Amino acid sequence: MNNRINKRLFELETDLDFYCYLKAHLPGEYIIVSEPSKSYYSEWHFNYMIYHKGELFKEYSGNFNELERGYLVREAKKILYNIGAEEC
Amino acid sequence: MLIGSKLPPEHIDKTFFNSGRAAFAFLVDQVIKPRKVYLPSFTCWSLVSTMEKRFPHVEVEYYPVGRDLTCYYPKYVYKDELLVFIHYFGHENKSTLPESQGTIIEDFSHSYISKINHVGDYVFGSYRKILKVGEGGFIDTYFNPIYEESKKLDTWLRYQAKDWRDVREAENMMDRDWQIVDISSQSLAILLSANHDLIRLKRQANERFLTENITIGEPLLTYRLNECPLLHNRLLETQEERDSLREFLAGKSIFTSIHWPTHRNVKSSGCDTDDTLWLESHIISIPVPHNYNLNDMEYIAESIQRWQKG
Repeated sequence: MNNRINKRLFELETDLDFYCYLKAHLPGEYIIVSEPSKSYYSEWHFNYMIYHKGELFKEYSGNFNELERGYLVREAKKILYNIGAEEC
Repeated sequence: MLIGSKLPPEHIDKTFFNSGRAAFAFLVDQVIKPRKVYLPSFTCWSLVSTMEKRFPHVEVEYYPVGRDLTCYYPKYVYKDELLVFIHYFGHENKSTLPESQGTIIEDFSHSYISKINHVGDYVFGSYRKILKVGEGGFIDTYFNPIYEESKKLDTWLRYQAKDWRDVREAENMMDRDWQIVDISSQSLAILLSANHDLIRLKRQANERFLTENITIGEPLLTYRLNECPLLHNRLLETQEERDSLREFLAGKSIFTSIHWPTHRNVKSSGCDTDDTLWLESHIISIPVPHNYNLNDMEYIAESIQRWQKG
């Protein structure tokens, strides 16, 4: 087992959990930032940027209501697996 | 008289929730159970989206609100109807209420530190608007809810936040949620230890400074001595002027907001929204939090003067 894999703080259940899940489980050299909209309400729109050592690593944007269900769950798990922070 | 060690516990005349919208949802769902709900056209999205998502079977009618925040209520509230009104921005709403056989509730989110006498059947609100607290809502009556389960990730994120972007994301997360959830111990401890008199005094001083020292536009409200301002709202002549000022201030790390963008359901409701839309396009909401002082307010006023000089 990769020694970077930490105990999960909570289960990733829906696409809506994507941001918090990665916030909680990405290794320290990665950060996730939310930049949905300058306006007061973003409601279902999201725009998440993941940076690795200051460089843009991944970006996800869209509308939760128009997503294929489970897409962000799969992406979060894929990211953590690919960087060695989560088992498949 | 009964003496024993296992008697029923005491309770206070208040019920806590994780948000104002949860408190509102509880009142609608389990206490009032109305056939129809009247909401103001000038309102936060949380009430509108809670009705839309959680109570799609309940009829909603919007009533007009004037530029001076006068509410034009329906003439009568029938037995199975609910009317919601808001004490906007810490200022007592003195619009004359209609005759009612139904239920009238006060949204006190902006105003629970103002000293205002209640006239509604129930009072509810959110704590997050004034206190720097992760979450919190209340009804000023004792109930014993069976709360719904939640991971409360928005609350976790607020307390985990390193900057305003995480807090804004937590706000967005809350806008996607209508559960009736309990408040966290951390938030409850913070709000129970808050010094309301001190908060009121500091916010009053900050708001008064901006009222007296900003030289563009007009204040939306004149606060009374018993009132605790939520924000300093100012009305500018044009939307272009307002947007330009907001952008300039953001460049100076002064983040303002617009209260409120009008929800699509309000726009399409057939209610007279002329003044609501006018407010949306002319208002700038400047924060006056109690953890800021007059030096900070001076920086805001000076920055606005710099923008005026071009």
